[in-house]
Amino acid sequence: MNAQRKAPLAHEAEISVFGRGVGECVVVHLGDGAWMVVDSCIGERRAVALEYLELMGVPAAHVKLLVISHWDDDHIRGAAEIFESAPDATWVVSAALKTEEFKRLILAGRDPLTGTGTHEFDRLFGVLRSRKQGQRLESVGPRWVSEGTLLWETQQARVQVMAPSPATMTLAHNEIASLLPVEGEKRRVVTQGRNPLSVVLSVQFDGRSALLTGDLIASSNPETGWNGVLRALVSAPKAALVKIPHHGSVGAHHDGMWDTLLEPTPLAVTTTYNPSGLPTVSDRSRLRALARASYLTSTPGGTRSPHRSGDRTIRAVVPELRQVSAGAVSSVATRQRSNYSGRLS
Amino acid sequence: MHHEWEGTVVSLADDSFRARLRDLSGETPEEYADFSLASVSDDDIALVVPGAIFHWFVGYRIEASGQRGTWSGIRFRRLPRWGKRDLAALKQPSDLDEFFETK
Repeated sequence: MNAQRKAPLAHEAEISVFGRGVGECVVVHLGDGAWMVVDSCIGERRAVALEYLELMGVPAAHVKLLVISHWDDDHIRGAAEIFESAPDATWVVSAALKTEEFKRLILAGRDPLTGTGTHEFDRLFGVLRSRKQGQRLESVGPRWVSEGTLLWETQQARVQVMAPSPATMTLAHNEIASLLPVEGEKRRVVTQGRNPLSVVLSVQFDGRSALLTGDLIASSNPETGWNGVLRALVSAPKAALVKIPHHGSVGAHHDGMWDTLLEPTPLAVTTTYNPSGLPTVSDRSRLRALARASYLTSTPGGTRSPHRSGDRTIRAVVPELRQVSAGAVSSVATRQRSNYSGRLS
Repeated sequence: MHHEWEGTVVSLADDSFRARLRDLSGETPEEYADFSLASVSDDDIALVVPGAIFHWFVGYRIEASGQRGTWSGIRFRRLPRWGKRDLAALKQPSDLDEFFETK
């Protein structure tokens, strides 16, 4: 296959951030042909990480770590496809999810009438089961991680887990239990995971560092959210690049992250989340003021206003829908695609 | 009928709701959109809660005048409630147990 994009050299780190208005995925070259994928979203037709690796002629088998920061729909779509394609990859997941309640939530999602947004997790466990084949479970995962876990270490690269904090794991039981169905409740789909349970990573390469933050948000609890990360202060160098947490929302902003974990005026990359209009204009202004350069992975779509008439609703809901009155209802333009890609060395 | 999406309500506002749309033809990527509550029938309005599932149809119809016009409709699925037996089943041993064991 002819590669359409040059893959990084063995001594180069590369961090590529994808997000097309819904969904987030970070693809990291850890040096020497080893790759890490953090979260997953769908590209043109399948997991964007696989499409990107293919673009460079890199076999999916070179993915060594697949990290799921949390189980929001927009961070996990296509993860099982990546895991199936990467037989040497270790699936890494927040230890905050290792609860009886989360297991029940996945089981509830098997109800053919509903689903809980945990289908992709169930599929990931299915891949593990097929991979197990008599091996000790610990050798196939998942690898449940929390603050302080060292995920990867070579002469060049090091990946450390900064969150979830121990206090977050204690709270996770209640957080997830609140999503479980109760007797008499109508069946429905649980569409959101829990951002405070998110994994945060420090990726270090030849003395430079990047901070990958998932959707971790600020918290009033001094031991959870960004407070928990700062309280622990797992020893990691200040980062020159940050994947901004939770699509740049003000609820994920914490001065301590900027002051303590990042170099002054770092590079900032934000994935857009159009359903909530994130990042907002004021979010973007705040990020530009704090960062040396602030990138978005796609043009923010903002929120769409509701409309009352049927025809106006059609036009508002799918603005790309072309020639509604001329018979081309099924013709829908694809969204624009863009991403941020930067090399540390 | 020309096109159909399956929607999941993700949030509710005073006079509208936001939904994730899956194109059942598989032709287009997932979309998020806002719908007016006025576009939901009186029979279905009580069903509009986060997590509710609905189908959105878009097509054409011939008006009495003979002219062709666009038409769209929203129908919410009526799902059964969780019962004691359903919830008890979630506590039974399962193929996930081995992954969640704590030592």
